[in-house]
Order: sequence, then structure tokens, then C-alpha cells
Amino acid sequence: MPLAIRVEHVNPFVSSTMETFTKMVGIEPKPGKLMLKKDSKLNYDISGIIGLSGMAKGSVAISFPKETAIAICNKFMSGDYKDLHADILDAVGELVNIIAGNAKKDLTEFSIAISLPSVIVGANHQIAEPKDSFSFVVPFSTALGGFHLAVSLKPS
Amino acid sequence: MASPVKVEHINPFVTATAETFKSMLRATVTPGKLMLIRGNKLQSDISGIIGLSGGAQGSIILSFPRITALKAVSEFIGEKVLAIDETVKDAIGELANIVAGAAKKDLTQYKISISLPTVIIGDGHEVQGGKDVIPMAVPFESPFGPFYLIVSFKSEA
Repeated sequence: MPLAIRVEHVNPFVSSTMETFTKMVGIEPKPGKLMLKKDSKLNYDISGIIGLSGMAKGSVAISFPKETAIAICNKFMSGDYKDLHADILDAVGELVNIIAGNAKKDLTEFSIAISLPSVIVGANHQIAEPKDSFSFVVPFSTALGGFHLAVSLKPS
Repeated sequence: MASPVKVEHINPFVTATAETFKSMLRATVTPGKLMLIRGNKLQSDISGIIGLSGGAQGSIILSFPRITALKAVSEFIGEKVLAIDETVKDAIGELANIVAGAAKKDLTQYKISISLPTVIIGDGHEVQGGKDVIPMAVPFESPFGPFYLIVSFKSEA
């Protein structure tokens, strides 16, 4: 009998995102209202994505406008980059890696394992939710700009 | 310092891509020379990503120009598609899923499990890996046009 996916399964990803940004980046993000992915056609400039497998399969992504990604990653790495340098891309991959790694500890019932991160760069790209999955988006606001966390899960 | 993905970890995905195009799309595809994605501006319009975890961690990405994707999906579903819609997104995700599933049989020692496919849509987007490993790209020629397979793979052993 597959385990059911519920809205509260997104919570570990939300708390992990808050903790990661607070502790590792040094900014406190405020989560906004959770949205169903289906209802939100959102465009981004840079996204970090990690695949999830185990008793639940899915993916977690953090997505930024370009300027916000540069500002946040500069703060994270104490860098001074002006554009989407390779180090900014690495930092986005590293942030989503930490977020997914911490969140899986609170989802032990699904025995989740995480993949390596992929980083997407492209003005106005969209991330499609996987078919038949529960897909949510949580907007966050920070002093350095806003970003989105997207989580898709499906029992396996 | 990260090192590039090993050829022996890339080959199962190259074979699986060729097999998948043969069986699902009745098409013969030809892999080209392995290349680094960093610094090579490999731009695509639609990409299907599958995460790999277990005794190894990684991801594979099938990355297409719009025209290649539309022609390949038309063959896949047996119906002409003219624009990137829900059907095309699902089909690209499914192709990546089949390739990852097929490659698992040549990598059994790693007990790999695969994630759900994530599909990216965006004109001219680029895909990069994280900093743990340097991903490699394999350019493919197909009757539908060119596309890329990008592999990130890191084994614990």
C-alpha cells in the first residue's frame, strides 16, 4: 500500500529552506502562501533541481530571478559576482542540495534518497510538474529579493 | 576538485538512449564525441531531467531544440504536435524516464533508483551540474534533428 502524500509533506522542505537561508546565507526568508503548481505558470532565470527517490519519488527545485540569485549567492559565498558566473551556478546547486538533504531527515517514512543537483540557466524558463504528482510552490521573500521553492512528490 | 564523469558511467546511458529511440521512435540515433557542458554553451528549448540515487548519485538530462522535440514526440505518440504543450512535456519526461530505467540494468552494482522526471521549458536554456562532479554531454544526431544527453554520475566506491 503506497503511503499517501499530503500537503504537510511539503513542510520539511519549507523549514529546511528557512533554516538553510538563515544559517548558511545569513538572511531570513519569509514564506508566502503555498500554491498548487498547476495553477501557477511561473518563469525564472535560474533554478537548482534535485531528484528524490525512495518510497516517494519527486523533485525539489529552488528558482530565482537572475539579480536575486546573484545577490543571494554572493552573500552565501562572500562573493562579488556581477553576473551568472559558474560559481553562482554551483552555489545554487549547493543550496538546493542542502535543502533537500535536510528535508529528507524529516521524511523518514519515505526513506528518501537524493540525486545530484542540476542547475538550469535561461531567461524565463518554466518547470513543468511531473505527471500525476502532488506539486506545490511556496514563494519566499527576502531582503535580497524573492524566490520560489517547488516540491513534487508521488508515492512509489 | 571535482573530476569529470567516468566514461564507463556514461556509456550505459548512451546505449539506453540509442535503444529507447530505436524501440519507441523507430529511429537510429548516432552519438558524437563526449564534451564538457561548461564553456560550451549547449542551449536547448526543452529538457527532461531524471535524478539518480542509491549507491551512486547523479542525474541524466535529455535536452532538445524545439524542432527536434516536436518531431520526436510526434513519432513517439503517433500524432503530429506543432507546439510545446502538456503532451510534449509529458512525452519528453517519459523519454528521459525510459532512458534512465533502461540504463539501470547496466549499472546494477549501484542499486540505482530514479526520481520523477522534471521537464524544463525555456528558449535557449542551459543545464549545468553542481560542484561534486563535472557533467559530460553527448551530442546525438537523429532523424528528428540534434539533441544532447547530459550525464552527472558519482559513485560512493
